[in-house]
Amino acid sequence: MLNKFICLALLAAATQLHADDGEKAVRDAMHSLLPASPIDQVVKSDLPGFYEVIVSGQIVYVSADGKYLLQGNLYNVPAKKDLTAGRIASIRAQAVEKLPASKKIVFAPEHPKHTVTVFTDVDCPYCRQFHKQIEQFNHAGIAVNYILYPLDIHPGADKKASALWCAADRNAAYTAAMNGHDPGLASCANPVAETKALSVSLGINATPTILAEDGTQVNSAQTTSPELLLAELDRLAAEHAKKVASR
Amino acid sequence: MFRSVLLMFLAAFTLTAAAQDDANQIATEALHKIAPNAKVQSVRQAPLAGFYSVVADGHPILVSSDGKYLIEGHVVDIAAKRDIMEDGLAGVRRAALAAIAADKKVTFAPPHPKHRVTVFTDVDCPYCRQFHKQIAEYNKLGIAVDYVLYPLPIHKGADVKAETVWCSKNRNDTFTAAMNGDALPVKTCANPIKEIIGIAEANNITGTPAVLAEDGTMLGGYIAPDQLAKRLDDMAATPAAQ
Repeated sequence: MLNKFICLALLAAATQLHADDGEKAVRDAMHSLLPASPIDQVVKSDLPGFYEVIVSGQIVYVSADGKYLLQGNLYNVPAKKDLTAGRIASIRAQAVEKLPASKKIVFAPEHPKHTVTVFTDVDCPYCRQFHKQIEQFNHAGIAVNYILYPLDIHPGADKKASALWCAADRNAAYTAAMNGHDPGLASCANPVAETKALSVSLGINATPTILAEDGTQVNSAQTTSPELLLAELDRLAAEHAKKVASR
Repeated sequence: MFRSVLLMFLAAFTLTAAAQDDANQIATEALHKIAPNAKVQSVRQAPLAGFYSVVADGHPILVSSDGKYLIEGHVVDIAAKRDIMEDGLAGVRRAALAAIAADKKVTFAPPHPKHRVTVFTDVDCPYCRQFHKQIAEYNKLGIAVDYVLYPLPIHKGADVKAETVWCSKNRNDTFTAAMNGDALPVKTCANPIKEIIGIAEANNITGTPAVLAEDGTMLGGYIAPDQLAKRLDDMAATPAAQ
């Protein structure tokens, strides 16, 4: 039954294939494969004959005839460029930039050289580990914008996130919570549901997820000390500048 | 080595010899630009026009026939809801399994087996033990099981146990004892374990148990006896896609 439906949908798509109907064929094909997943965006891909489809912050490529779906990282070979990672990074960078500072917890030095965005969960051990060095990161010229993302696997982490948000001194409450202090049950209007939904929609499924300014995910091995993180951010910034210059 | 593997698959392709040479060159050059050390195992015409379906280091890679684009991952035939890269992978795994001689396996088989699977197994892996607890049931359902010993580095000492199994007089009984958690006196001798590890790693078989059909299809990790029998029956009823 389901198969028949898919065939009909594909047939309909195929018979209507005019110049601008590629996108419709792609949407129909995606719907037949993943009826429950809303599509964020469909645009022509660099790969000839394919559309880039963004679903839940992830990228897939669908042929303009709606027949094939490619899932994986797409490379431009002569340029040695991971196009998929680049697109995901820019989508994430835009979303993070759009989220106002009033919905983040900001630990910043006076004149930051770099800014990282850290998706964080009070009950995640590596998030706590990261925050232990927050002063040193700031001292090294790195501003840290935390986005609260309590994971479902940590029961009660969402309540803690709301409670620390509602504390009089949010930054101090965050630091205390990261040191294992229970922030209690204070509640107020807070952006936790919104930042969590944003994280999910960006395909971020673990904490801490640390993004450089251009949206590139920083490998966790590079975040264990201020020196390593600074070197990695310098490297990414130089790479990003080169990319922009070559456009 | 990789040339001979390619030649083995040639019969299944629609590419002529000359086209195959071009395909090998374009795909290999493209891949080596991105991953200089990747070992190409197979190149074939993909069902999508304008692409080659490549297997390298056990990973599926689609390469555009102009060599300009490549994508490592899955290619779903949307109508059939099927990963078309699996065909190339199965071909490569089938060749890899064929390269393991029968005397390098620990075989548990019924008298007249209907099906045969190869199971990469580790003495210290819980689901491998679970699988072996039911070995009589698999056999009763007509499934012959060829175990190959693949101790994972994450299980400290599993390699010593694997070698002990291999070097004991009655390999099958010792294997069963080891799977039951019995402590065994350590034995050493010439053994094929390193070779098996090499084959597993070259084919991106990274976990245990890994259950493979004779045609190289990866059937997954632990599968209950009735489910495995059904899957193998289904596969026998529908001839493998080329």
